[in-house]
Amino acid sequence: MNSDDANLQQTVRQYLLGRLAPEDSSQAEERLLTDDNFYQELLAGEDDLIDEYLSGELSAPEQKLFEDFFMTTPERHEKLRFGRGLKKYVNQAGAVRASATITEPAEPSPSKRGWFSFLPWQNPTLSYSLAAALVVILIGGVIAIIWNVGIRPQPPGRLLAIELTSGLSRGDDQIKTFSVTSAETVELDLRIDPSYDYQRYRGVLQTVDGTEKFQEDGAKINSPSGAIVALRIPARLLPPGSYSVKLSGLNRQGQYEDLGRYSFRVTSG
Amino acid sequence: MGLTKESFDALLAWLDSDPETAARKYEVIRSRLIKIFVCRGCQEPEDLTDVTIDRVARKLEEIRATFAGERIRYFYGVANKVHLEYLRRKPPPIPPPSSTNTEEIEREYDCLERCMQRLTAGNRELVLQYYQEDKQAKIDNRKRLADQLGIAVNALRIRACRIRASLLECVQKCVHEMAV
Repeated sequence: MNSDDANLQQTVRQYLLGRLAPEDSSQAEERLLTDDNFYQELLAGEDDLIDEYLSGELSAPEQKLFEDFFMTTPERHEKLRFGRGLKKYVNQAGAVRASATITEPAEPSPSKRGWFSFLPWQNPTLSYSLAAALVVILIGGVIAIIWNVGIRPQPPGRLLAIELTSGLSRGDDQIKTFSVTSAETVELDLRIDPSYDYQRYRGVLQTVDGTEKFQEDGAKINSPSGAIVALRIPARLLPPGSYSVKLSGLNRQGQYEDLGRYSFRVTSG
Repeated sequence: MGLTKESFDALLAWLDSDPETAARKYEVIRSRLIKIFVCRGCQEPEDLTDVTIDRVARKLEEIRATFAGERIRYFYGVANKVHLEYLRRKPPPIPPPSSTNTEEIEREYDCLERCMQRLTAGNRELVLQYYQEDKQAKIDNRKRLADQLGIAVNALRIRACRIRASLLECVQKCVHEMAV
């Protein structure tokens, strides 16, 4: 990025956070009206601030200005909500890609592989070549379909989002209870202390007898009403019963610290 | 009080003699005034913008012969007055964040999935790659992506912002359609 870009971004950021002096604000607004680049920069600056807020990347003073000054209009609340959804979608797609990558063979891709290298003939006749080409096309087509399905970002299906708070006792009236029959994926939004600053968060789903059923790593997501870690669990892993999620955070020493336990109950309908 | 067709046409003619250019300029002025009111934390940015435009239209007879310079700056002057009046009135309290109940989140997410599928393959891929990672990994990732595309990081940022704006618009439209 050149210094002009950097200066412009900095001016826009200060303006968006209400940090410019009144005369500088007026100048910024006049540019906003007359300079297309400035206007576009402002729109990009809004997105950047929202994303940095959601990722917990804003400094403490910036976070305060973001909440007190930036987030004062319905339009901005809508953008924040959208930013949160987009972040989840991209994370989900990234996870699917990552798992697809793990299952990819280390060899060259099928389309470049010598399909008939296992055969003893090194100088095939024309008829053999035609037959082989046909087989290659057929197999290649099937593999291409499988391949495509495997790496394409998969929509997570019908999503049920449930917010959970840690530390509740197992009294019947306090445990969140819900049905997952209409969902393909259940998102557990685990409320955490907004001041937590761990490198990564890990949720382990356990049944009531302590059997581990699922584990997922997630990032902290900030919102005006607090902070959460979102875990996505395939609904098929949640037959009716009582569960808890043990949440831990990876500290700077590379160790996981216990952050709490989140209990819930799944009903049949 | 809204604009009559005559006064609106006169306003457009003042903005530019070519009707298409005038309409484009009008849209630019309106969207940017709304943005200014949003940036100032106003709760009714669109209403304040309409008041501003109405006032300019009503002043047109007086200023047409004498005003020189960029028209948009005149709008800005009027917008400042409208904003002062807004501040003198007791502005409505800042509303709490809109409801984020489970159903609403689900609906928006469904719409986002649909809208992502409507993007071109290239734009979908760009969104998925651009918005990956956080902190330093994000910066490195974007630099790598910009290199792959052969464009500057800031050009990539603006491109991603435009696609994101179109996605947001698509989601808003989709949510509205699901509600009716």
